[in-house]
Parts: sequence; C-alpha cells; structure tokens
Amino acid sequence: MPGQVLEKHQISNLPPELLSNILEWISVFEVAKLRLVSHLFNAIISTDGFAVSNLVRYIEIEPYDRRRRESFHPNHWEQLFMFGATPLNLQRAFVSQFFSHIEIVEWAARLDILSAAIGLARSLTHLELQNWARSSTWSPIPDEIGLLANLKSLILPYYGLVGSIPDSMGNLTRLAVLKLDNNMLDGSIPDSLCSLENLWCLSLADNELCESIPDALGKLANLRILNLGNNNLTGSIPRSIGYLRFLTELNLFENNLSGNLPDDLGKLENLKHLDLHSNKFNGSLSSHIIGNFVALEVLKLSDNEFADLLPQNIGNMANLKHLDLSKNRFHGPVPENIGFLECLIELIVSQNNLHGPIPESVGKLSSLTHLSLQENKFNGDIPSSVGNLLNLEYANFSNNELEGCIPKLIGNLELLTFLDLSDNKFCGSIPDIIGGPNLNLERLILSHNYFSGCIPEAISGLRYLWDLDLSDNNLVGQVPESLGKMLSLYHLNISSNNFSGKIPLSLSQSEKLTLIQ
Amino acid sequence: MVKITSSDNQEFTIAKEIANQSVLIKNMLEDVGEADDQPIPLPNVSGAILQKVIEYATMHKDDPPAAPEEETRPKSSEDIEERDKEFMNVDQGTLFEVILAANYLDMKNLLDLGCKTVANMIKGKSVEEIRKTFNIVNDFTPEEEEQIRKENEWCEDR
Repeated sequence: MPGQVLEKHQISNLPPELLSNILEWISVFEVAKLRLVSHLFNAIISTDGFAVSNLVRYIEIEPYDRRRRESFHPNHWEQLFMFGATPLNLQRAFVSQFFSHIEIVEWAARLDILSAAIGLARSLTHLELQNWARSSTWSPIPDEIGLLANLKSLILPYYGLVGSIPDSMGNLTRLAVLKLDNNMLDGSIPDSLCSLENLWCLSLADNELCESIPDALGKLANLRILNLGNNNLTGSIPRSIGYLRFLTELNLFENNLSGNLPDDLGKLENLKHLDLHSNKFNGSLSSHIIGNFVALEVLKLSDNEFADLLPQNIGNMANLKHLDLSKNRFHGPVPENIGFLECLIELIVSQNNLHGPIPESVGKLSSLTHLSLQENKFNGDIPSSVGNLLNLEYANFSNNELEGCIPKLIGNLELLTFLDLSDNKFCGSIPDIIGGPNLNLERLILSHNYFSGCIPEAISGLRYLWDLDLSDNNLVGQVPESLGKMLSLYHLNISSNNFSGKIPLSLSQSEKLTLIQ
Repeated sequence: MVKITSSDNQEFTIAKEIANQSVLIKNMLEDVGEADDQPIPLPNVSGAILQKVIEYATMHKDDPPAAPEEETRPKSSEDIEERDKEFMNVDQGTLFEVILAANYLDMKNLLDLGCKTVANMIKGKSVEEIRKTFNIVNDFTPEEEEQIRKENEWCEDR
C-alpha cells in the first residue's frame, strides 16, 4: 500500500538509534534547541548516551588533547559547564569524559554531577573544587568518593557540603591533603579518617562537626596541620595527640572543648602554631607543656577558663611571636623571664587576675608592636624600660592598679598610635614629652587617674591625635587655646577636672569636635 | 563474484571486494565458505535501494583504509566528498531507506554519509522549518514547550 511506503519515509519512523546518529552531528548548542521539535527528539537528546556521543564529537579538545593534559584549567567551552545551567545529561557526559583520563581537577563543578561520574575517575589524584560557580545547592559528600583510590588531595572549601563525612573516606589511603573547610558538615569526625596514615594536612574548620575528637587521631603519625577550628566539638583533647610528632599547626579554636590540656601536648616539639581560643579549657598552663614548645611562634589560649599562675618557664618559648592569654583566670605575677621572648610581636594578657608589678624585662621585647595588659590588677610603676620598645604601636595599661608618673621615655616611641592609661592611680603632671615632635599618637586616654597640673601646651603638637580623654583627673589651670586648633582632633573629653577660666573660643567654635565637658 | 537478492527478489551479482564493504555480507560469506553458490538473501532491502547501495560501494571500492589519525581528527558533517554529495542528492524517502540499509548491512561510511546528509538538512533551520521539512507533528502541549524553553536558557545566543 502506498500509505505504508510513505510512512517509512518519515524521519520520525527511523529507529531511535539512527535518529540519534543523525543528531550527533549537530553542535551541542544547536541540538539542544531541537528538543522542541517533538517528544521523540526531546527524548533522544536528553539521554546520557546521546550527550556523550554528541560531546565527544564536538568538544574542541576531544579526544587528542584530553589525554595529554595533566591538569585541567577550563577553556571558554568548558566554563559553560561551571555555571551549572546545562542539562544534567550533558554535565554528566562532560565530567565522565574528562574524569576517565584526568589526574588533576581544579575547577568548579556541582558535586551531585561529580558523584554520578566519580566511578570513572579512578586515575584522579588531585581534586580541588571551589564553588565560585554561585551554585546554591547543598549536597552531601557522595559515598562513592571512597572509590577514588588514587586521590592524594581533596580540597572542597566553600562547597555547600552538608551531612556527615562518609566512612568511605577511610578508603582513600593515599590521601595526603584533606580540606573541607567552610561547609555545613555535621556529625562526628569518623574514626575511619584516622586510618589515613599518609595524611599531613587535615582541615575541617568552619563546619558544624560535633562530639569529641577521636582518640584514634593519634594514628595519623604524618600529620603536620590539624585544623578543626569553629565547630561544635566537645570533650577534651585526647592524650594520643602526643603521637603526632610532626605536627606544626594545631587549631582547635571556637569549639566547646573542655578539661585540662594533656601533658602529652608538650611532646609536640615541632609545633609552631597552637590556637585554642574560645573554648572551655580549664586547669593550669603546665610548665611540662610549655617547656618543649621551643619552636612555637603562635600561642593563643584566650577566652577559656584557664586559672593558676603563669608557668615559670614561659620565657623558654624563644621563637614565640604572638602570645594571647586574655580572657582567662590566670593570677599571680608575669614571670620576669618573659623578657627572653625576644621575637614577641604581640603580648596580650588582658582580662585576667594578674597582679604584681609589670616586669622590668618587658623592655627587652624589642620587636613588640602590641601590648595589652588591661583589666588585671597590676600595680607599681610602668617600668621605664618600656621606653625601649621602639616598635610599639599599641599599648593598653587601663583598668589596673598602676601608679606613679608617666615615664618620660615614652617620648621615644615614635610608632605608638594608641596609649591607654585610664582607670589606674597615676599621678603627677602630664609630661611635655607626650606632645613631643616625634610622637604620632592618634588616641591618648588618661581618664580616671590622679593627674595634676595643667594640660601641657605641647599636646597640640600631636598632629594625628583624634581622641583625647583627660576626664576625671585633678587637672587645673586654663585649657590651652591651641587644643581647638588641632586639625585631626574630633573627640575631646576634659570633664571632671578642676579647670579655671573660660573654655577657649577656639574649642567652642570648632565644628567637628565632640566636646564633653 | 557474489550473488545477493533483495526483498523483492531482484538478484545482483557483484565483485567480492564490493560485497565485502558490508560487514554483514562479509561475515556471512566467511560463515558459509567459498564453495557455496547460493545467493545471499537480504530481506530488509528493496531492489531499488540495493542498486543504490551497490553504486556507492562500487564508487568507493578503491578507497584506502582509514588512516589511524583520521580517527582523532575532529569531524564535521560538512566533511563530505563532492561525489558523495552528488550521490546523496535523492528524495527523502530514498535517503532514509539508504540509511536503514547501510545500518542493516553494517556499512559505516555509508551510514555516516547518510546521517551527515540529514544533519545538514536540519542545521540552520528553525524548529518550525524542521517540522515542515520532515513532516513532523508538534506533539507538545504549550506547558511542555514552555518547560523545555526554560531548560534551554543556557544555550541561547550561541
């Protein structure tokens, strides 16, 4: 019958595999539009198989370039796939084609796409994806990740990962670098991770991991960097931490960790960076621990519940650059040997119960730029040796029981921009030297003391001063006219003193000045 | 020489190197052996189309085997020899039947040629033009069409 013959002549009556063969010859972009022709066209174009054949034929670098390239930096064509709007079958095809050959991947792909192709990625050694593709999808780490047996580094920061870390990661026995920072991973740190004995960097910071740090972590004998900061970890530091002999960096800050620091921590002789701030650690800072920290450069223990005296051997940490013990309950004096810390740049012991005089030896810390001693019970004079701290930029002595005069040698500190002596028992007159031509103070806070005499005219020589607080002292005489002519000053408090005479016209006329009388 | 018969019982006698361009016939010949003189039945191909296929095979009987690097060169549907273009200058019905026959007889070059030819007829046409050219009925509801349009936003302006 003629009708039958005619039907055979229809493109739609070709077997689907032949229609697929035809459409494969059309470019990926044009063929996508052909989905609108009919259900049949749409069905064929939407299959995974079609996407692979179509891509293989049309991708520029296919297939000769693909094998040659070791690392994968996307060209304009490949970038299309990073924006995540291409159909899933195309994305899967794309990833599967590359992942079967490529060893190093550093580009953004959606992990749900990746998981579909991950079984093909056996040769992958380096997987680093950053989610700058603006994908707002949240997906768990696929269990199949455990199949990437050759993987040496897995770096997925800011990747929208949720759920727990799969146990299957324990299969990645060659893994040396594992960074999953800044995701929303929860659950505990799986014990299986602790069998990755080639690991030298484990960074899981800024997630929502909970429960305690597994004791088995001590098996990661090659670990250099352990970064678990900003999670919800509880419990104490396991004693097995002492087995991580090569550890140089240990960050456990911003968790809910508690208990004493185990003495085993002191076995970490190579440690350069120890940051435990904002936890609930208590007990003392034992001299057993400190004694071995010869390589330590950064020690941050602030915002915990440490108590007791500071260890006598604190001066042994000869390479220390940053020391922050603030917001704890340390009491007693600062040991004189603090002066041995010649590399120290930051010394922060504020908000404790420390008392006794500030040791003279502080003056030996010639690299110091930041000195925070506020909110303690220090007494006695500021040692004149402070005048040797020629790099000092910030000095806060406020809220202590310090007394005596401002040491004249402060006039040497040309880099000092912030000086706060408020809420102490300082007395005597404000020395002329404070307004000396070498000083570059921006903020000078002398309130709540027993300073007497007149405001030295010289203060108006401080070109950069914008905040001057002299309130609540015993100052007398006339307020110098020149104060009102200081161009940078906009916050001045001279209230609660015994000034006489009139407020200079220059002050009351100054428009930018916030005057508190 | 090899004898073949079409679905409508037309018999063709062709040289073996021509017959061997069909992997199907080649395999059959190897199976039955040299001695057998029986014609090979090809019930899926009409005499008219078989004539066309033999014409193609004769035209290409002296082609060198594809070089290995040929495989790795990016291919395009525009890559068609002039004589093949001429050969494929037929009505749609014949074109599809040749494709079907090439597929059945397992003749890769002819199948590719047919597919490329149809692909070239599709390229550059609007969806509506394609439907008209190939007598395809739009079987989408407006909602379905809208959905695909939305999914296709990624390839607009390309």
